[in-house]
Amino acid sequence: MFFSRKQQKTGTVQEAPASDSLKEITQRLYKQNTDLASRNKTLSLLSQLYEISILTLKPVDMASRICQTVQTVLSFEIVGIMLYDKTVDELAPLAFAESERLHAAHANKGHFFETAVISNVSKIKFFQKIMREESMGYTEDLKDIWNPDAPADFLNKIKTEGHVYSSIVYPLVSGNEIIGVFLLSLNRPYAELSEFEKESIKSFINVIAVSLDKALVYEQLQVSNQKLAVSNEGQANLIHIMNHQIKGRLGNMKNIFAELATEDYGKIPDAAQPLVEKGLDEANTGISYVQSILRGVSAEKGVLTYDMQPLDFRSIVSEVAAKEKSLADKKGLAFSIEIKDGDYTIQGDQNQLKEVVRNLFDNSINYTLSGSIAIRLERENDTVLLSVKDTGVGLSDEDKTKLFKTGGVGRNSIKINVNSTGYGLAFVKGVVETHKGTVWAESEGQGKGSTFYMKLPVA
Amino acid sequence: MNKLDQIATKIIKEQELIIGPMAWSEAGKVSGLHIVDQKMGTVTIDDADSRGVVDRLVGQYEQLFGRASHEVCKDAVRSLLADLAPAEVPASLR
Repeated sequence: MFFSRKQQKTGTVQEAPASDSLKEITQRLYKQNTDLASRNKTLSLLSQLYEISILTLKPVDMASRICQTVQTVLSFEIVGIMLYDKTVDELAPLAFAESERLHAAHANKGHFFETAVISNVSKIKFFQKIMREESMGYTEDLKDIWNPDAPADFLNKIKTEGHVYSSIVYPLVSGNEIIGVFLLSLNRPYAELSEFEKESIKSFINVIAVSLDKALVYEQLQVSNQKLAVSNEGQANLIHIMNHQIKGRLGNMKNIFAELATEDYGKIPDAAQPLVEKGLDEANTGISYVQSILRGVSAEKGVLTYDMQPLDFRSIVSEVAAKEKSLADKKGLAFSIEIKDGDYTIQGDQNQLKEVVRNLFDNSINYTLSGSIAIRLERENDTVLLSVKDTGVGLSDEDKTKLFKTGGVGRNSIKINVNSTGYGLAFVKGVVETHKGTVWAESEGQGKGSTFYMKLPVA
Repeated sequence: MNKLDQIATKIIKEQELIIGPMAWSEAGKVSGLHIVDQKMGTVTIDDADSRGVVDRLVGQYEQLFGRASHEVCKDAVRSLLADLAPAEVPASLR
């Protein structure tokens, strides 16, 4: 017992024996230690769950370890995690752990909980509140949860012999979605749980939801990676076929038409001459088309070979522009080139860069139905900057995201350029990045033209 | 280990979380309770008066630490009590 200083001074209250004071202090300390021990146990359990979530990647393994840990630490009869599939309104078991006595009670019935699926969840009264309000559900009747899937005698057995008195179900929420439920069955009413048990449950529900969500995302990622690997293998096979079969056959075809055109096999009738020329032209277009795809894939994969030498980038731009002008003229497009004074010496591969510049010019010409193409080359600090501005179809936001990727054809581009491979700009990006440069495009939107930029470091 | 041995062990371990090794030294003072291995946390209690031993163990802590320690003992063993018939439950844990 404690006394105020005033009381002690006046001596109006007689002091209790020292042993009583000591006892009271001891008991007070005991209570404080009880709180601390309870918090320590909660933290220890949370720490174990965090460790599981960090060290386990597969959802089933993670859920099994979580259930086992919670069951062992809190000695509950059943601890389970079920996944909710919104599309079929179904809860399917992911993992369950149970006490020895409960296991013994239904040992002859097999693994009921591991296989029990709860269908039409939103129509079961007990689950309606849990799923709608994302709040805890509590029942002392097992039929609320497992009926009609579980036989009555089975439920009765686990209630009497397994000592299941009550069950709590928590929704596992990630973001705004219920990804599953956490089920706990106890051998006593929820109200009789200790403070530690109640506090623990409240603490670990969110940890379990986040951990499980992470594991599910990981699993989806694994599935996507597997699909991607299959898709990549398919692409590799296709590229192999294009390289060895299609390009080879087109090459043979080109040779045949070229031979016929030389008249080494006799004079071609005048009426057939245009056909031979058309055939040669088509074969060349086909070869160029296939080569464009192969170059794009190789550049993106980084398997192109480069012969890096000091070169004058201005001469590449001028030379390619001179050739491309005729294409623009054919379409009636104004074609201008402006090169600012300066040193344009860079380190690069002449042939690949010519192809890159040609691709950029081609791209603008192909996607401009009327108006102009304006090319500009200038120095910007330690870089050379090439821009190609057109009055063409422009780019939507969606187009911009896939523009420089293999197969990245704009939504309407194929209508305008039927020969689009979708690999030209991927090739440009691959080569430019190998030269430690950058390439990008700007557009105010569809129908508002585009400007393509390419920046390379000077030597 | 029978059920009441388990109950006694669980009580001591729970008290150990709160008061440390003193939980074992106090348990050692209870007649009829034998500490088999403190490190492993195992005890046995005399069969002749097993419920009485558990009651004395609970009382040993309560005498020192008050009513709160009694509640700690009851909370600690709630899940184990389900296996016992009501008549088998030590009076201090009812």
